[in-house]
Amino acid sequence: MSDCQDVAALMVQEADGTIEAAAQGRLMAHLRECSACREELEAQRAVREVLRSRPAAPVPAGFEHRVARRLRPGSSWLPIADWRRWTLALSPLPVLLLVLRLGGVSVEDSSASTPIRWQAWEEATGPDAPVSSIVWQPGMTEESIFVAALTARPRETLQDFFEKHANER
Amino acid sequence: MPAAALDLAGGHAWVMDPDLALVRAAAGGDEAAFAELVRRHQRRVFNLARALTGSEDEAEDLAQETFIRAFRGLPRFRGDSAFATWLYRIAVNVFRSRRSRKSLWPRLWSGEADRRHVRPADASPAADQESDLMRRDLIDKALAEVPPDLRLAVTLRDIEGLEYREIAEVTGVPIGTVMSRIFRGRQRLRASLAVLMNRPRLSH
Repeated sequence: MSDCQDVAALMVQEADGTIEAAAQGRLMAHLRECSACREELEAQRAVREVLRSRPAAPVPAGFEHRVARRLRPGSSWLPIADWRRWTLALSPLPVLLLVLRLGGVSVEDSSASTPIRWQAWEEATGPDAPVSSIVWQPGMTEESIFVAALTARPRETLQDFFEKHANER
Repeated sequence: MPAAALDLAGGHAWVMDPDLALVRAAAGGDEAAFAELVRRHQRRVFNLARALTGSEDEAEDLAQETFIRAFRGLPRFRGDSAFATWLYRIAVNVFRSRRSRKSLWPRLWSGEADRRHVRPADASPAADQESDLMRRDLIDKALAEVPPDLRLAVTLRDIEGLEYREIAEVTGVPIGTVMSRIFRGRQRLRASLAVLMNRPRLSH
């Protein structure tokens, strides 16, 4: 019975019809004495037969087009639906409102009718800081922060942003 | 081009890979060439994905991901094996990484754990008269009950018809292990596929 483990690979090859003559001789010698393995070989053949009869699954219509579409970045509108991409840029807004409230400043105080005035920035954060750190710049109006939140590109630095809007002063 | 390919083959006994020209064009960024490769191989890749996952949606996902990764990996394809074999290897890697990401909780959540107790045999007592679709479904459900490594080996062998040597290459295990997994995979399938067998059912 200890041979049963050893002939497993031979039974696979026998069922598949890939066994070599010498190995087949060894297997047959074992099978003559082991009814369990004889039955197991039949089962291996039967399972193999069923699996080989499995009808192939048809490829769903449009599969190759869906693959092609995924290969072209930017051609899909789905990234826009990913809220994480664009809500991140809005994140300074609630922070600002909170800061203003905590500071006792009334939101209505801000001069909504005056054009945006870009104050000379004071190096509270440094030129390489992300645009979102505009929140920490002293003297920023909430309107300029709002504009920053809406128009800033990912990874834009504070300095880039100020230069871009320099002519609006 | 044929001369170069023959040089590459030099001395080896294998036939030239019919995909080689397309693979080179696609590696150079030719999307039409890659589209042709997808057309050539989608049947096999999708069929494998369907057998491994047992679900139409997961199969679509797995097959798509396989081709996307293949496209990105084309510059690294050196032609040591046939393109088809290389694709299988990618599909197997995608399949494995998905299995390991899938923890028990999401499976419990989706009810997959409950479905595991449904024996395919109960679902269809008159299976020999069922359509292709039912037959395939029954087989795939039975396969889903088999541990992933055994399922892979037996699927690549009996459904995809790969040689032991190719399965070893695709799954990264020795040939002896491949055979042992095929053996154990078939053993596991014996009871659940009995209903589809042409011979009298084996008594338990």
